[in-house]
Amino acid sequence: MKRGKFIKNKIFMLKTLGLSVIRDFVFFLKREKDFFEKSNTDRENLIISHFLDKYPKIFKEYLLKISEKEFLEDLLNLVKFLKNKEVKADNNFLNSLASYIAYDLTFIVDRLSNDFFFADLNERQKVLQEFFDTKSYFSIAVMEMIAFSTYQELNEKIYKSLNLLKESALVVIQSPLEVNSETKSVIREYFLEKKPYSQTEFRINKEIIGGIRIFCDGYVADCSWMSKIQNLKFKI
Amino acid sequence: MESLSLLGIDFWSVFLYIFNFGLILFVVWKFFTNPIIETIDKRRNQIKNNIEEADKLKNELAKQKEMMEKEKEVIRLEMEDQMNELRKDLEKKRKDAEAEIEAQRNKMIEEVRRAIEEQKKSIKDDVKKDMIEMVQRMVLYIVSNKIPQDIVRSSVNEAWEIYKK
Repeated sequence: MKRGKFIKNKIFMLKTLGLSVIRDFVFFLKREKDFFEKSNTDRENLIISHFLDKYPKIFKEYLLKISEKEFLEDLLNLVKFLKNKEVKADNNFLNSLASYIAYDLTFIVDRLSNDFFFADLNERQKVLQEFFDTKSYFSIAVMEMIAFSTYQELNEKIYKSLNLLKESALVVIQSPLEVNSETKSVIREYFLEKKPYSQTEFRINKEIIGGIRIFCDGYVADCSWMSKIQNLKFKI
Repeated sequence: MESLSLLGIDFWSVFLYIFNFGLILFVVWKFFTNPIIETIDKRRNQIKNNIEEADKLKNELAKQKEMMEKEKEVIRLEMEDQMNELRKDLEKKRKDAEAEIEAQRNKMIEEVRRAIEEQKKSIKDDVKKDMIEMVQRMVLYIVSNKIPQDIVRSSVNEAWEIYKK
């Protein structure tokens, strides 16, 4: 797959993830033709047996709760969205996709260190196998997308996708060193709570020396050492 | 008579001489005396008139001289007055100019003093600014190069805690 395609297509992430999930569902529904007629417990058992643990829980829950009619409507809406970029608020599938990107995928990206994006392809795929299985269309699509993107490209795609679906806010955190994945998760959770579906991007800026600088929705919170040193002159 | 003839004197000749002389005297008296006298009188009158005229002119000249003297004196006095006025005026102007120069000098001194004060303040500010920048650079150098990575790393967490609060 050529990298140019990733950058040029604004809805590439939504298209890739959405269609790969649908392909997984269709593949599953072809095997289990009477899936929608079964009881909830049977449906749950079927889902558990078909989809591996690493498959996103949010899509499993979607499949569990959705009726046949709603599923077909969502499919139709998804096609319409991919054609015209019109989003219907009651589209459960796109809502699940947005939730997956904001509340699941971004946390996986946070757990990838900076070295990951400079490693060779085999190593990157090896790391990604910790987070994704290799048997579903979805996992393969996500792994390919992450492996062929830089950290910045990935963040841009995530933000654009969320912005298209949920009017997301972009939060940029600057730090002098790479923030560890635990802290990244804490920070992300905080902003997701404050601004649902927001995208938090972590950038390294050695000039701030210490502390962090936060850019969120047009305001800046400067808790950096650099600003403290610069403020020294007003105190002298 | 004979003796007179011996001497060479002839009566008739004498008579003729006397007659000629008388005739000449008559002619001169009749035709030349009056015009000569008239001419002499005319000349005398002319000279007299000229002398009178000259006297008159002399008197007039003397009068004019006197008048001129008087006018000269008046002019001299006027000039003296004007000179005095001019001198007073000049003195006044000199004093005014001196006062103005003094005021200008004071103003210039004040301006120079103010400029010096401003320059001093600016130099002080510049020195202060330079010092602050130097201190800032020193602190930046120390902070950028001498602080261990783990302290910088922990600063991120601390800053986050501060932000949350």
